[in-house]
Amino acid sequence: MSPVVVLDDVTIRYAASPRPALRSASVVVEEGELALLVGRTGSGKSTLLGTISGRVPHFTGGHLSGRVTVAGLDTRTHRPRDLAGIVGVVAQDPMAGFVTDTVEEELAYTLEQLAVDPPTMRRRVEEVLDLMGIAELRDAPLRDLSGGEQQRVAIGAVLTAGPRLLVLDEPTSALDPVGAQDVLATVTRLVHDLGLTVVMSEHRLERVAGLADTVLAVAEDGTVRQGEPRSVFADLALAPPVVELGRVAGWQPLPLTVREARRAATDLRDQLVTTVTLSPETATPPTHLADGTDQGAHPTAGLTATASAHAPTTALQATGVTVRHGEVDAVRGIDLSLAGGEVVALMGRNGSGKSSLLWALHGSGPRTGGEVLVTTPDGSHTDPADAAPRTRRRLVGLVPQSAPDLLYLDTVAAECAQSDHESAATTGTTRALLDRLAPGIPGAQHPRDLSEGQQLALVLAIQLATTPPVLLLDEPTRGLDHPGKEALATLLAHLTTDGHAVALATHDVEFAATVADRVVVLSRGHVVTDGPAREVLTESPEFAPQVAAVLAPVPLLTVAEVAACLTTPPVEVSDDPAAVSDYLEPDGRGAR
Amino acid sequence: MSRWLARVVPAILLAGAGGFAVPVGSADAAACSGTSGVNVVIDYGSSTTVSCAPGDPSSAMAALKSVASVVSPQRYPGTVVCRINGIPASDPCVQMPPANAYWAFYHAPAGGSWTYSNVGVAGYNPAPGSSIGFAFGAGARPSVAPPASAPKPSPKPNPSSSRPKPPAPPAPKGTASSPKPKASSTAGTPGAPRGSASAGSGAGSTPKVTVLPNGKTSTLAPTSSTTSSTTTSATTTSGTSTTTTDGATTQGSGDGGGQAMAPTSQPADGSGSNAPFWAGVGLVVLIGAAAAYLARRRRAQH
Amino acid sequence: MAGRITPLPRHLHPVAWWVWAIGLAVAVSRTTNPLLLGLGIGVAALVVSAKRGSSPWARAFGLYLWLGVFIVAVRVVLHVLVGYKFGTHRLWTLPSVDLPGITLLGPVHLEGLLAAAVEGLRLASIIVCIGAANALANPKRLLRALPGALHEVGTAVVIAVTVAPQLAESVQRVRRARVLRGDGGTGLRSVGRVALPVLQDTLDRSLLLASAMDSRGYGRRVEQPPAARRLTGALTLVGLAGAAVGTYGLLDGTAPAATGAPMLVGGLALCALGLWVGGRSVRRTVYRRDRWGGPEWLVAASGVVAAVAMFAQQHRDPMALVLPVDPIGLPALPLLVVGGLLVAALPAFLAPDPPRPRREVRG
Repeated sequence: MSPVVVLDDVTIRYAASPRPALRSASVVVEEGELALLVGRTGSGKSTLLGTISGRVPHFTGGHLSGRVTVAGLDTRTHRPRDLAGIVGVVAQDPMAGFVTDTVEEELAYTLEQLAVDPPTMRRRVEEVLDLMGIAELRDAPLRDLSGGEQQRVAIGAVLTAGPRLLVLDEPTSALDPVGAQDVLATVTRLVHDLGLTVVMSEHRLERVAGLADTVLAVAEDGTVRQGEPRSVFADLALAPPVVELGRVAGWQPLPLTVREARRAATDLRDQLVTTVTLSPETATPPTHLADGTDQGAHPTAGLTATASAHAPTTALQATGVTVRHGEVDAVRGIDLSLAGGEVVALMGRNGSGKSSLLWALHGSGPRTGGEVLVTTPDGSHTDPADAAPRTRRRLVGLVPQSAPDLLYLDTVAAECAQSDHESAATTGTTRALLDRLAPGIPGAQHPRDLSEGQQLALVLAIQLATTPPVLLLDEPTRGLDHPGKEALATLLAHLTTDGHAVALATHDVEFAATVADRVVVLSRGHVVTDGPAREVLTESPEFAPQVAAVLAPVPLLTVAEVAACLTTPPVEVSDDPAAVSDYLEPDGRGAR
Repeated sequence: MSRWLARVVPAILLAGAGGFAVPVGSADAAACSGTSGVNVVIDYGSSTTVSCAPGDPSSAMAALKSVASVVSPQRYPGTVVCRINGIPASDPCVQMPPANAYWAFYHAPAGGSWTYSNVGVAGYNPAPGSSIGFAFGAGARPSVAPPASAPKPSPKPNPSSSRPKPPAPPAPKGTASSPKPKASSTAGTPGAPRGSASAGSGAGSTPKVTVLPNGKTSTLAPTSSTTSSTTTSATTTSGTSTTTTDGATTQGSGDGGGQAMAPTSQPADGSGSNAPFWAGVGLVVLIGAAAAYLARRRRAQH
Repeated sequence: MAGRITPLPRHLHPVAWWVWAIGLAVAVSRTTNPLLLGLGIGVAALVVSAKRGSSPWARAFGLYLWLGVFIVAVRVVLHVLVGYKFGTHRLWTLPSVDLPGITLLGPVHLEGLLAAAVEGLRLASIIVCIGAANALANPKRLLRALPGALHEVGTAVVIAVTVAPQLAESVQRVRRARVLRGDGGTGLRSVGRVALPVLQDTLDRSLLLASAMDSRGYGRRVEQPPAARRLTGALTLVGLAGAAVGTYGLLDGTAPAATGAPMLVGGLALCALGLWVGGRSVRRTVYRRDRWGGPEWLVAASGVVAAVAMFAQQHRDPMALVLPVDPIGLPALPLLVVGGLLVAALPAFLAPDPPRPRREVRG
């Protein structure tokens, strides 16, 4: 059978860009394969996906050389709309691609465009409703669905046309872990049961590496490397934690799933159980790296010591916070305290009240009841909601989910200057912060042209210019690739060193495992769990990072910790994983 | 607020109870003398009258109303002229009059010539000594030139000096009358406003269109009784009342229909006739309450 | 309710609701009688509260009512400000400002104020009727009933309509973000700061949507020879021109009879022909095309009855349809029109209920 996708020496060049987005890419995806597309943000992943669906260059412009064949059709002569019955395209944000407003109509839309006769159309829509498990949602308005449901509808909407190829652009990046699992399970089923060919890009590789038949790695220079997952991941900088663990442990063949890794990890677990000493008290199982002798042995200790040098002063104390949106109780009486130098991760499914809580803590969102007190630098307690916006900024900083909303000027330099002006800081404060967070951003660049990570850094710098004792982050890793997350982890480590209290809402368990000291799990507006990150993350099957799942019962959360244990045994584990990973980064990720 | 209500509520109630008579100022026939007053030329098609609106009227409409009975279309109350002294009778005066049978409004400065006004009757403020002209038809100018009032300093406005005859506009012959007023110019039916005017007040040389309203009406409308409360000539002359028993009933055709008295149900006898109104109010409240109840119940279900 | 056979819940054909609403709107547009206007608004509200669906559209009816209140208020304020203040019952006197060609403020009379208020109420009633159609029939479903040649235009309209709530969402989000930077988020200066991110956001969204639609086959059509395309254009243009002239001819009593109805009918026929020729190149089908059955006839007819009753009344006794203000008086209660409007309220009881979504989704 002929391959579904063939790229033959394809180079794509956009008019404004000096270097090609894709350089001599040759790719073959066979019938029934799931091809995983990996690469850094801005590396040309989207261009490659667009090339396959025909959007590049028909929709985006640009110059294409070489030859792209999809199911035997040359995209040069076939526009995306002509490929509609053959290629199904699902975007990152399902809501942005919806044309109609109820589930059933959305499923039928493509069929209507393809002039499928009504009886067939009816039958296919019913089939897809069942296949995607969304039959009970058929009359529901699309806007009212949860993210996972929306994404399944979006996939269903292209499936009705019976495509041979499904192109998914980061289908889970906007979803909570449960929604993401739903979507990925659906995709797996489509591949396994229907033999559909799928090309999918994804940042959170830990979720999908095990599913892939072939991996397309797009490098920053636009070249594409294709191969078996094991061979590609063996030396790829971007790899899921299990793969990194396999590399560190030297396993052959390289594991791609938790299951494979767990089978390979028998020896490692035995070794670690003996080397990682745990204090028996259940209150805080991992002991601190607090004594001076360890400081000498570990460069980590310097940071940890600094962090713990701050007495655990309460930076923010919230009691009985309630938030009500209309008739929905988003937050129902939450008590939360944030200590200086501490990173608290708020986790929980979508709609569990994380964002509402952050906005209520900040004081600019609605708060129906309860009290929030922030300890000001001079030691008094103030409710930020009572303060004027300008004063409030000095107490609490908040970086919203869509951070670029804060940017409105046309150069980075202008944003920095405006920020200094707004926060009455000395000129250059914001720029200095920015350089510390993300060095080397030219001042003349337009903020909208920055990468997501750089934009986040700029917004953080702006919010930090007033040096608020408390910093709140809403889904900061959304849209960040792996290196971006590492940079953010480093940055948070800096902040805690300076004594800031940080609370962040996130779905990303791997990231939480890297940075958080404490994890608070919310469900329907209540606190379900509040405890040290290591305890919460290793005990919960839903929130366990891959390393913890592989090594359980050894309470290690990140590859960096494992590596540290392997290189300098014996060691006691700090419960400040951020510090460990920060220290280990230079050699631990040397391959990058 | 309460003061405002105190003024408005009785006014409405009175209006509802009895209806108002239209106060029509007596017309000073003939052109003005000197620079005081505004000449009002009305060209009925078959005849033309010239009168003087004394003083300095604030608008052409005010000037016109001071010399003639004016009816506006109900859609454009107070701002558009539909009938002048009952002409034309055929127009129901609800919508804007048609383009081929309407009162064209002209004005002229003292000693000047007619200009078609690009400002509405209600919005034009004629200078003292100038002239305004109304011509019925498709927009042609009045058939007479604007009167030159300046050379007439004589203190006494001589009756009918500038008028060859009492203006005899076509009788509003109800259904028979054509939109073109020329049709029956000489008929001089009893319903003609002029007839009644001259008959009504012979002493004054001016064709006063003073008429006595129905006794009941005038007594029920004390607020408008400050001046000689007059209603339209047609009403009195014919001796029939425009009173209708209820709103759905049309006015009697012929004489009664000629003048635009309030189209409403004017109570034949003070009480009881408000019933339709209050029934309507009740109906509206009932329907609105039903809608509110349904909406509330739905909200409770959610 | 025992023994009464209720029709199965289903969406009515949107055209039925629109015919009903337009009938009602035409009816109220012919009157300034506040009783009839109030009745018209009440009937629209009654039917909406009884038969609206659960889509976001349907929840917007209240906004239309407030818009109506706003219209009346603006009309009254404008009257006080610049209107021609006729009448004999002086309510109050404001100092008048004489400007060239216009006089501001001045004495306010009851008659003028009432006339302005009922004029405002008339416009408000029309708006409320259209709002009722919007709440009862999803405009997107209406566009599905369009002829093939207009399908693409229809889709564009749908998207434009969809953008509005998203735009509001963006504005809200960005304003919240502005507060985070210590900006109060109000005042004229903040407009630019909010507008730029919002516009950027909207543009990004539009591009995403456009490319998604492209990939889903929007705009596929059979290639047409240029002659056919030109024919389509010519037919439609001439038809539209004819229809315009015809409409003018009908409305202007002085125009020759030939320019009235014949022109209008001819123009519309040409338009239909043009749409048919153009529609031949569009190959698409409609999923679960809305049925047109008995309830649709009933709903549409009830609206038409209201309009017909109004026209009949206008023919019989137009004075009953106005609020007498010069001189002032009580409005009449023409039973014919009241009956017509009450017939228009029948769908509240006789039309099938809209289907409820099977699940209450998260808020």
